[in-house]
Amino acid sequence: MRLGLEQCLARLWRYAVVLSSSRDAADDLVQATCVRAIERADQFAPGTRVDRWLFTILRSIWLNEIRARRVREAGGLVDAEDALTVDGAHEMEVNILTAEVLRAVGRLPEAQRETALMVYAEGYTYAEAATALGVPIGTIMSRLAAARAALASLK
Amino acid sequence: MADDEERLAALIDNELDEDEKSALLSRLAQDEGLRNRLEALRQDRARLVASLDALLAQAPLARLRAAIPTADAELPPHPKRASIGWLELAAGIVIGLLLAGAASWVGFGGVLGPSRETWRTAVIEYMDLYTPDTFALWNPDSAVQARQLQAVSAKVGVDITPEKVAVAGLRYRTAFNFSYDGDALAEIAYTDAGGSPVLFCVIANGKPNAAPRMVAREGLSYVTWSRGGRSYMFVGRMPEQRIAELALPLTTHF
Repeated sequence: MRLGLEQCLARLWRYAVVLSSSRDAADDLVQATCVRAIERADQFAPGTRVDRWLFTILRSIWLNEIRARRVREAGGLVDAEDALTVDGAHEMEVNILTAEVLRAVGRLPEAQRETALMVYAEGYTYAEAATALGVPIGTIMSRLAAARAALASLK
Repeated sequence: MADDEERLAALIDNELDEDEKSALLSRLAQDEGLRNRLEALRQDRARLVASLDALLAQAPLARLRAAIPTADAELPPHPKRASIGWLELAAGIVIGLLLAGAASWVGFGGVLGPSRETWRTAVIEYMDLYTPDTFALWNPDSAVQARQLQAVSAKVGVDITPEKVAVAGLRYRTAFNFSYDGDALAEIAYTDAGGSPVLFCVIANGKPNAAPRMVAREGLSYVTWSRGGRSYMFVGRMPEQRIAELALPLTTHF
């Protein structure tokens, strides 16, 4: 399981940032995911995708533990816009557009940016995303449409 | 499908069935406006994917990696050689094995007896004796490699082919049939660019399936997993990240 975690760390962190809108919370979320995955390694079905299994764990921890705690403590969630930026002055020029796109994604509701990440960056089919998120395929399509509309506003 | 926008997006995402796809492609052939909209959606999607991918480079990997628990109940202890007598005896056996080209490990297991905690520990102990010279003269051609792999496949009951065990960056050297506690054990030996041995081992031990896990200890790293009644280990003296990368084709094929 440690191997699977090593191979998925960056993607888990990206998912955590997109979900939590906070790089600090993302670190905590990935760490909690690692601990849970090691604890439950015997529940992983060989031959299935370890990345998808880890994403499920991460999402469960986010929904049931970290987001709930943050809502209680802060009375709400922070805006994702600031978290979804690309750091590094040396990359500033090439990443102006990237930063704009990520800010636009950050302005989306959590469910829309999570769906966009799953389908566009992680390669989930609509059906897989619907199953993972527990919503109908039509909802996946409408969320993606909203993400596209946000990007279109950049033009 | 709600509207053209969603149809076009679904086309890009390869989500249309054949009838829907055919109908939309026919319309696209006749409708320049629709084609322009499709191209705009493609560009939006590409920008979004590129931007999300840029986030990956921001991941604080060192900090995250340090947070992965290292506790591992199955971790075999790195053996301390208990006596010089054992070392001399084992060395003699190893030399004999190497001169013979391939031989049974029954004698090895018999000498070591039940104190050997796991088959992995035995392999790792054995590996302590390897040097860059160990496999220097083993340069089988493809026909010999195929025969060697057929021989070990037959013993452990797994289809092991040259294609399946090919690992970029490693040179195939030889394959041995051993036995550990009565279980057939195949050992496929490679060397890295510096000549350091790297082993891929398969044992028909009937263990339940277990996902790949990585273990690093005292400069030696290995990936081990079980599937289909066989347990596997890929081990070398290299950093854990490197062994994890090299193991990918093997954890995929076996």
